[in-house]
Amino acid sequence: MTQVAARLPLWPQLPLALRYMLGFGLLFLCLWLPAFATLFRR
Amino acid sequence: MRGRFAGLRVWLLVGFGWPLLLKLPIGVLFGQGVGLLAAMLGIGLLVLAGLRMQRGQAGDMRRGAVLFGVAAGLVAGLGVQLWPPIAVALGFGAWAGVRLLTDDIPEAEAPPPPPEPIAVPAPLQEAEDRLAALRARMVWGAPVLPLAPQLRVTVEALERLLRDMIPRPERIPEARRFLAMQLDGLDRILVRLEAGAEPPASLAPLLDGIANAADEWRARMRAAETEALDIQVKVMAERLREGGG
Repeated sequence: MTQVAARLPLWPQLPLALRYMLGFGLLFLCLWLPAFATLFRR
Repeated sequence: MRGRFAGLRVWLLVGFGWPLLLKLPIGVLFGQGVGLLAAMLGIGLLVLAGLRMQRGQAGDMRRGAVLFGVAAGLVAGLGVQLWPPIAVALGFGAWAGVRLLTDDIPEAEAPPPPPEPIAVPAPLQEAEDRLAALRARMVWGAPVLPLAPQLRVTVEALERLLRDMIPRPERIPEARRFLAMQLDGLDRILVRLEAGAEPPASLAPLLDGIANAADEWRARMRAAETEALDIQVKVMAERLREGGG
């Protein structure tokens, strides 16, 4: 199986740890928080 | 680290939407129609994204991330009833987060397109069509026709010859004459047999003869190729000897 690396032009060489922190932070803020907030909305 | 725990990571990201699962019973219990709709849409899109990313073909990571973004935007806009631009911004945020977390997961290349069917050279197309027509008549007429097995063997021998001729366009004219002649003959024999003619005793040997002749043609073509290869090998050996010595 040939593997194709799909690299993003916006953040090509961010260190892995930073990328993961940023990614999880964004996902927490933009997906988990709204999902959690729906519990308190009608 | 490249691509490790890819499947696990993908479903971990989908897991960020777990409060939506909780919203389902709450929405049902308190009759919150819009909230319920948002939760169902969100869960559906997230699962779809997870499946897409798990498949891991070329472009699946990008498409999965877009689905994540749409799910987040929908949940924020419809479920939390945020101001739409903010919901859209949150969607973009979720998309970016997923891209950051899955960018290093390798994707398989898209499966290669199915191979093109063998192109039959134009001069052989007619023979091919006639053989196909003969075969169709044999299939329908086989039980009633006398000597059907021999007829089928003959047609198959001619088909094998045709297949062998396809990669050798330079031999087409001579072999095509042979094919056309035999096809004409077979066609007439079939017409008579279909009309109820009793096959003469000499028909079976004739059919065998046609099949044998077709096989001989194939053998002759193969022999010619072998001879050509032989010459090629000799020439190359000669050149090698001259150049290397």
